[in-house]
Amino acid sequence: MARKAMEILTESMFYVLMALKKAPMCGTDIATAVERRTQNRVLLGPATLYTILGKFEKEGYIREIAVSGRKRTYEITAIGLEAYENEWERLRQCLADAEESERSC
Amino acid sequence: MSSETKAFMAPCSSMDIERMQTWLEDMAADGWLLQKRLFFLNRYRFYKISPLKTRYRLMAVSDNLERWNTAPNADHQSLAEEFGWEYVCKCKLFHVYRSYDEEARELNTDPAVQAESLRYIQRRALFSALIAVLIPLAFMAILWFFSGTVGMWRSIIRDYTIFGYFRMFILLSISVMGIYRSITLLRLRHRLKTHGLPIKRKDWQKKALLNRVSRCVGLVLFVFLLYSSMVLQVAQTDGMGFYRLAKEGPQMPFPTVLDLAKESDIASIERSDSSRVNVWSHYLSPVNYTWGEITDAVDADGNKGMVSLTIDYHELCSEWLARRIANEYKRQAIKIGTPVEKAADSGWDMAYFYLNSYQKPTAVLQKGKIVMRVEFPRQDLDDPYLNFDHWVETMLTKLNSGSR
Repeated sequence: MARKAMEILTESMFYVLMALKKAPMCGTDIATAVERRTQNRVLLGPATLYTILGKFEKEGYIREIAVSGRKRTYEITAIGLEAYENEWERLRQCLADAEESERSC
Repeated sequence: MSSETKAFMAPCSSMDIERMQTWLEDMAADGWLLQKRLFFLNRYRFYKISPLKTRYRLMAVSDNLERWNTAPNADHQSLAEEFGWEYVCKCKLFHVYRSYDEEARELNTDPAVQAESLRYIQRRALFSALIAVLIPLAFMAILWFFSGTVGMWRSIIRDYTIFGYFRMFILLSISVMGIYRSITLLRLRHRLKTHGLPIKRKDWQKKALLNRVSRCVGLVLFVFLLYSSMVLQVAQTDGMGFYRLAKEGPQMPFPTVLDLAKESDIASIERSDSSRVNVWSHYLSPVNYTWGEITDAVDADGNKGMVSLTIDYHELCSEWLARRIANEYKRQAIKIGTPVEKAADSGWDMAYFYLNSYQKPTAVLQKGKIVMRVEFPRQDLDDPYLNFDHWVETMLTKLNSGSR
């Protein structure tokens, strides 16, 4: 059965949740954290970032906890944490299947 | 920045994101920097500058709140500025950003997320298209539902004047444009989601002339249709309207009480001041009368009484429509009246005789393209000619002889 839109986390979305799992952050800090984590492999553009943050906030994956001038700080919620862990498990399973497939060749 | 400004018409719809962005970048390369969008004809104002290499990006609004705001969210703008993008202006359902730095990170770095960001405006375009179609359908459905009292076809020939056709044309245009925009965005979203390809440059010159000419032609057509429908509406209603009936005349395509009185030996008959006629015309129904004639009569024996006649008379453009109208009158009559049996071979294409709610003789009659609902609300005198049955007979003779 096809998965719904927010059940599928793209790579960018996954890394945003990963960053927020570490600590509450504002948008710029999230982008920087993701760049560092992926060694500049995953670069988050500002529009991508605020689209993801907007969607996550709507779905209840994150919540805004502070506003300072034009900067907003977000933290991950229990629902967001669950979504992150589900995706982590899915990716881990994909990797395990791929490794088993290699061994059996 | 130079103070010289100039307005240019965009070569494409703002929904064609890639072409719009390419056009703006090419304009900057030619020495024109975008200032703002103008209200009319998809035109934009530009500053004159030295030729410059820039990047433009159109960011779609994401919800109703953002749609009505004139600027993006402050945090979105702030985030874009931190990455080297400045906000320029709002362009319908998009915010336009510009960057002078070739190395500045793209605003959108995830095609799937970008496809998601276009969802709201794509649905809005489809919604507009559907609403433009649903409004007239809902209107027709309501009229159909209430056909017993109003009648869909009767409402159309009464209310759907030239202005009505103009409104339909506008709604159809909105629907077609909405569908086109929705499809344009759907294709872009599909490409972003399935192929993961980023936004690219597109040749805007290819259909630029066609787009611009069609916009101008569309505007001229709109003004022309609006003007002509107003002029024609006035011309159509020239001589139309609600009138008090004079003591004599006018010549009508059906026998009036005064016409019937010429055959009888009535002593005197006079039309009262409260007699009225409503005259109107419609392309589907060129001749229409709502006739209300009230007369005070004195017969040969000196008996006084009133004889009145009301008719809803229509000459339709086709027999098919005439049957529809006649059936609507009949459905209404069945609801409110008591049927009266008449001779089987009445000579009419359709004839339904009944007593109305006041127990007065009434009939719905149709022959060819002509439909009538006729009743004699008052028939105080016992005269062989000034009555309902004789009127029906006279009208049928008139129609059969072609002297209507």
